[in-house]
Amino acid sequence: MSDPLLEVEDLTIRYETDGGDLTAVSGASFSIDDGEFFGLAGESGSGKSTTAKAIIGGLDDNGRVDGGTIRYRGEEIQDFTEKQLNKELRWKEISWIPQSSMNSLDPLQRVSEQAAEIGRVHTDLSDAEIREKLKEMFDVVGLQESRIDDYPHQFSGGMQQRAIIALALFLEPSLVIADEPTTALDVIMQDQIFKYLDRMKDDAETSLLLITHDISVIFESCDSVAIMHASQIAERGSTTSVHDNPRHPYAFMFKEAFPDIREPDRDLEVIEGYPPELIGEVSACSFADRCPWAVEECRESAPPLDPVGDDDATHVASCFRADEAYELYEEHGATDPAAPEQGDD
Amino acid sequence: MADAPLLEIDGLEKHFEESSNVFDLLMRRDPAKIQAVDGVSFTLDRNDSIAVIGESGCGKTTLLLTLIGLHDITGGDVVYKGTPMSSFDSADWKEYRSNVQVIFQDPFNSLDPKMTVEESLKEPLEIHDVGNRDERVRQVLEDVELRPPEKYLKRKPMNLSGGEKQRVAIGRALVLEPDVILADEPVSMLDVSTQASVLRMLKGLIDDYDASMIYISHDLSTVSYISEVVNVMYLGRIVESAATSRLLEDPKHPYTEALVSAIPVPDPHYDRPRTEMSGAPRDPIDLGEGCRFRDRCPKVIPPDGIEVDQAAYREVMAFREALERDGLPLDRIRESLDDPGDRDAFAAAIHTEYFSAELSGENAATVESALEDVAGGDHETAIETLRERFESVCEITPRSIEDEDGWHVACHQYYDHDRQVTEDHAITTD
Amino acid sequence: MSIRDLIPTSGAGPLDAITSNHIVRNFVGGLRLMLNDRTTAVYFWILVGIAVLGLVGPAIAPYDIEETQYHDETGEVLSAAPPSLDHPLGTTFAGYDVLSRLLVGARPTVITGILGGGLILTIGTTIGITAGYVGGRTETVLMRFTDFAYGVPLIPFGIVMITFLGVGFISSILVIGLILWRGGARVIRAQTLQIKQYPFVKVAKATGASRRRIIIKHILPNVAPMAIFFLALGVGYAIMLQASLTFLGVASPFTPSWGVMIRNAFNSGYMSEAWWWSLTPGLLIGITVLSTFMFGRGYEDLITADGESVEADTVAA
Repeated sequence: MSDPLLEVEDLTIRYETDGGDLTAVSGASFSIDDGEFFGLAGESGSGKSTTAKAIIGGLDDNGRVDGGTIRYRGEEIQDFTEKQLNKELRWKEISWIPQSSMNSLDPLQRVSEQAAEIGRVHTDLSDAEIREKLKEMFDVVGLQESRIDDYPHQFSGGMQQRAIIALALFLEPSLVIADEPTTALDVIMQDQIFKYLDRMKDDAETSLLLITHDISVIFESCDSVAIMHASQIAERGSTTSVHDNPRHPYAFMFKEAFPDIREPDRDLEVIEGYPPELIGEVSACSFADRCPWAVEECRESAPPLDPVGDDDATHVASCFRADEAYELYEEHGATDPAAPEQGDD
Repeated sequence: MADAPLLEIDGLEKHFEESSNVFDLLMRRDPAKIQAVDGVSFTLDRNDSIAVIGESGCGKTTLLLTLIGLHDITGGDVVYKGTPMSSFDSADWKEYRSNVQVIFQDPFNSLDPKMTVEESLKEPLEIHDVGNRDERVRQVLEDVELRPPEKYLKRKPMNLSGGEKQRVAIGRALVLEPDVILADEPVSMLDVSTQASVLRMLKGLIDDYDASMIYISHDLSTVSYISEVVNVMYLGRIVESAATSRLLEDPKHPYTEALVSAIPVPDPHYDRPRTEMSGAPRDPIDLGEGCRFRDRCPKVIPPDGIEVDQAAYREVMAFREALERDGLPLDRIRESLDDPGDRDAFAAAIHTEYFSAELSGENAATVESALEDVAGGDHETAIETLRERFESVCEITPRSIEDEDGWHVACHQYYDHDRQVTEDHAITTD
Repeated sequence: MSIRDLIPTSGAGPLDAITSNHIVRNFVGGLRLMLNDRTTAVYFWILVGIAVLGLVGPAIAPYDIEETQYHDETGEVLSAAPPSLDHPLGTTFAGYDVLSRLLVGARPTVITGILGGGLILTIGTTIGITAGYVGGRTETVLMRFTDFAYGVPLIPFGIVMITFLGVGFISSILVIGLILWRGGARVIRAQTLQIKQYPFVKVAKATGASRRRIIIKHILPNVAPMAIFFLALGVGYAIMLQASLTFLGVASPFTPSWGVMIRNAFNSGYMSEAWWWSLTPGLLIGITVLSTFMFGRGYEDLITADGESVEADTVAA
């Protein structure tokens, strides 16, 4: 087994704000192998986007990595300077597909010109070679090769997103980070795009870090998943084991909140409350106030990410009641029969 | 019980004119017609909850804006309690506007940032001079689960979360106790865990308030929680209409099939095949006659009398479509050739661009001949040649078929042509 | 039983109609609110101070503004003398006391600011909102009119206008107001177009709100921040331009509004040497414009925020 392509270990990221140091990510750890599709799931405010941005050096000005490491091919990159990131990583090794295609392409430049610029800055390839590579990628994403010289406005919205994907892929990076790449798109277009991402995985063993709130897409298209809640990873493992045997209350309640077209009448789960904003050190389970099964221990210390003990050695969950929560949920729903009287509703 | 339907939408059309520029005026070209809504018909009875589902660009938002009177009708009509909208006087409009309310998608801009929750909720009551305002406002806040109401009355939108804002927007739609509520993707911009609870609440309220709802969305996966009937919309027309469960289990129209089968299934064990569909819906401009889906439909019907592989026929039709609409990127293709003057190479390049499946015999020969004509600049002959051999029944606008269960579909597959073709050779919209 | 009990509390008297109007309520509530916020209150008081200056200035001026000042001992004309105990702000080239001129000049300046700024704001906002909201031919006509206003050069226009309005202080302000609304009109029209697209306006329309209602209740409050900006700008422009126009004969150059003082200093050639002459009126104009803007925006922000306390755990979704 070769070393993982990307290894994030105990990562903590904070934002400086007027109200104090906001902890966006706390002690997050996960790894991605070659040719692996990894989904990072969670609601807004979970820290998933922040984690992804940190990998590529795209944190906002007031954000900083306060702890932990990010290793790419064994080398630590969390402290890389802009120069190093541009020279060694961006576009060539790790590329980024942003959420909204609207603002990502320069409307004044042809797509081929933007590719040329990227290629010139990050590689030693000749312009002709760059054009060839772009054409190949256009083909992969289903855009006509002869359109590489078009301007962005000549593409429709969905095609723009595909052009951006082509740009993200044409230098054959090993890791693609996609932040809600299909959220704004219709379901047929989303499927078209994932078809191309699948092809990329098969052809070039490219890895994908997919950030999204849509757990359905992750369960369908990813090999592994980590579910985050307010800076902490609640559960992590292969999509099969997290799907079949969820342990963390947030993980299974989140899963149950999504509709499944095969069961259109199933009642959708509702998770009360909001993810808290955390200042400073996180020393409790961030889900405790929303969790029907929280006990005192949950508010006293942050539960460690412990192995769940099933067939998947990588399957871990950070919950003190990981061995019983799901069973309680299945039997009694979102209440803890042993707990004292809950608040209204 | 034969109550007059609440709202009857009858062949509704809303066309826009593309704004003309100087050249169009000089050349005396008529501005292009944008056929956003192009013949939509359905009925809404009391307590009905109907969904209109379609991808972006299908015209559903224009439909909504026309139904709330923000666009003028350009064809067909909307009949409210027996009175057609085209003949509304100001008293009719006033009644309509107090009885038909709308909820929009974007919680961040649905409430006036300068007004408090109380002011936003009272506004409809003030416009229609309804009494008991404080009481009604309080009741509605309770109903949308913003409790205690006192806590929310004086708040401004910037101090409410997205979910709370949307609840206020829903409350505002209910405060006049309307007959009809039109909702445009009311939960799509909310977090997942909030979506479910807001949808549930909305459904309950529609029942409690004895109202009817038209729910507009692109998301088929949540529609079963809110509507009993789904109308699927494509390029301005309803292509299929059926009870929600039936539509999801057994979609009949090829577009509905494609839509339903593209919905992600949250299960790593389930092997869902990726969509076969390519491209995106056309622009709703100068659509002409015929089924609007035929340029992408995997089941486009070849004429009797020729034998052709479906995939190949699909490509032929796509090519014909582009050729007839003058949408072939000939300049671009020509420029990419080593020798732009080489007609054979040009024809071959066009072939590569549009055809990957194998054609044989007479089919292949016809296509080759047409390609040569195109390369030589003679589009008309090419169009004729291809039409003669490959004309599909799908080029006639399909009539909507209805069965006893109220299922409608507008697709030639289900239309018994042998019976109908002599009677209505020139079939136009339903 | 007191008199109060005899006064009917329900029933809409005219005072009730005024006090329950949402705009008035906002204003009064806002004032109360604003006095709690220190920064905005500071600007408010500065503006009040300047207005007071305008009111009592002439009364407290130590010297006559056209009284030539002489040196106590030498008997020479105190021309362009630096600040001293007798003349804390020094004297002008002609030997007039700067402080007195400043105080007397406060009144015309304040009037110019209020009238000129007010005209620019009112005309600009009305045209901008009407064009933006009503659209169609009205918009085209109004915007062409605005383009026309852009094309008019202010000074020549001012000269032409005197023939109709006659020379005078008010005429000079009218001239400014009748042209400079153009910038605000354009920008506010653009904003109105944007606001018109927001769902809350569509909902109001769909519910049957009259055009008037939408403009007053929805558009106006939402263009207020931009309008306030143009008000402040308008005040500044008005004061400065009035000075220029004065020198062209549109108004009497003997009324020492602050703009006129700066102009005089400039024209004399002694502006850089006799810095005390132009600095104070300049500073005061700047402070006026700044305070107008900062107060306006601060006040506007406070109204937008809210009187209600906000729970700490309400996180925007």
